[in-house]
Amino acid sequence: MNAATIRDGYNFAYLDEQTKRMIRRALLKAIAIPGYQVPFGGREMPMPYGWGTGGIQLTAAVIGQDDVLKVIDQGADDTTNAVSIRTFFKDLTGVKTTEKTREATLIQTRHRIPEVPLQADQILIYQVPIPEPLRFIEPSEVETRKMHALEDYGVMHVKLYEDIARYGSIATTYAYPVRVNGRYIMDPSPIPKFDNPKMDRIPALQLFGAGREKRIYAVPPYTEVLSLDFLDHPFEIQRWDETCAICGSDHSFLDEVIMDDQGTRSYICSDTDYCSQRVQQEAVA
Amino acid sequence: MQNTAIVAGFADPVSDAQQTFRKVLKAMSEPGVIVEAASPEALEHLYPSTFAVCQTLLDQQTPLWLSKEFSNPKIQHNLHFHTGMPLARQPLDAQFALAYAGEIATLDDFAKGTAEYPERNCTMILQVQAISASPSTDQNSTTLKLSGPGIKTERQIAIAGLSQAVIRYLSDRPDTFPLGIDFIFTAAQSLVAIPRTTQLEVC
Repeated sequence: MNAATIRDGYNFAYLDEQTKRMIRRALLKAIAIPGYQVPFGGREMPMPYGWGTGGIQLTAAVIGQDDVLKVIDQGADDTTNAVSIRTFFKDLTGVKTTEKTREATLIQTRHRIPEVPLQADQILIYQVPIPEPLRFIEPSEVETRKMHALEDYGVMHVKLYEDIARYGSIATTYAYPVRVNGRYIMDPSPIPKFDNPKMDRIPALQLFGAGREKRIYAVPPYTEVLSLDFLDHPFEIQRWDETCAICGSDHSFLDEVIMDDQGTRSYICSDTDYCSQRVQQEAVA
Repeated sequence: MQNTAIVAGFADPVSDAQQTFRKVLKAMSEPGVIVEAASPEALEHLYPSTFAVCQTLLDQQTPLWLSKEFSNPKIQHNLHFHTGMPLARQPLDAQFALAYAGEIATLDDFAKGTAEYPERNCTMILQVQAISASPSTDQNSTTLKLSGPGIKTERQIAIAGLSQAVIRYLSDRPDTFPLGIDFIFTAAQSLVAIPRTTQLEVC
């Protein structure tokens, strides 16, 4: 035990062992019922709700000394949320951290899936603000629970249809609802719909934690994750006419950056690791 | 009152429980993958792997049902000492159940969850004689072909010591998803999990 590297007076990974066991049991249930939101006794964490209290509790319950942790916020390793969560786990577990997707065993993410395809034995942990995909249609938990039980998902399609009626196409661009293993409709967290296809039948395990709403859900490896759509309006991901201003990528998710008062725009990769790897490869070549 | 010997649990409870959990997590998310897990000491009837799983998942919030073979003071006392779990009086009250897979005559009595709360089911920890990744010629052994979430195409395992009731439950799936029982099968030093999403075929 490399206790010397952990901040004095804290348990390994902050949470007490009983809390970890409770979360671990909920995780196993979540895996056994892919896409179903398992309630759990979410604890108060030393950060406000909305900063990833759900994701951080899952990471704390899962992480061990041999893990290599990567934390991203909107794809970037160097934003406030990612930096502070990474420092938190460095302080309280002493594990190795990385910015490289390929080297990580655990990746905690806020609102993106890395561009590099995930591998077997990697675990992707999503921070989720509102886990219930039906919540904006039906505010009552009693009702949404019944709708999930009865597989009564017609309203979800109505919502997408309303998009088509109003805008001519499905205007939902993030938190785009998916159906997991042909049963539960799930909110993939506010990832752009660009990332939805990356959830389908991948070798990695995907875990979702919502701290404020106290829900855990999961998608096991090689599990079907289908984005909802219509025969005449098939699901489509975002595309850009521009390329990344740094690495020139034309097939990654791009962030729009305003350059001056005149509204000049530039586009850069949202996945900073992917972008810098490409720049490095370019330099070598 | 008669004194019962307490055997040692995990040497490093925090780290060992985490390591064991990751093995169980891997097993549950990739059904049919055999993982190794063991607590340093074990008791008669209680495998090192089973003991490790109990220390990892059980505590005062998880009523445990023990089968006849495990209902002796030695096992009860040790499990209670190391985990603090209460005993479930009826199978229906159990969040976890511990038995030999051969002992199970029916699974009707255990909780399967409800349509609104499918997670309120029982997780069965069943000890078997052997688990192997290759088909076995042992007549006591059942070769199973698994498919479903967590499995790319299909996966084969052979488990020795399943009762007809367990085999029938797994292949017939009488409870429609999302209801059902999740299984963790333990051999002496290894385990394999079969959650309710897995489709099975007996070969």
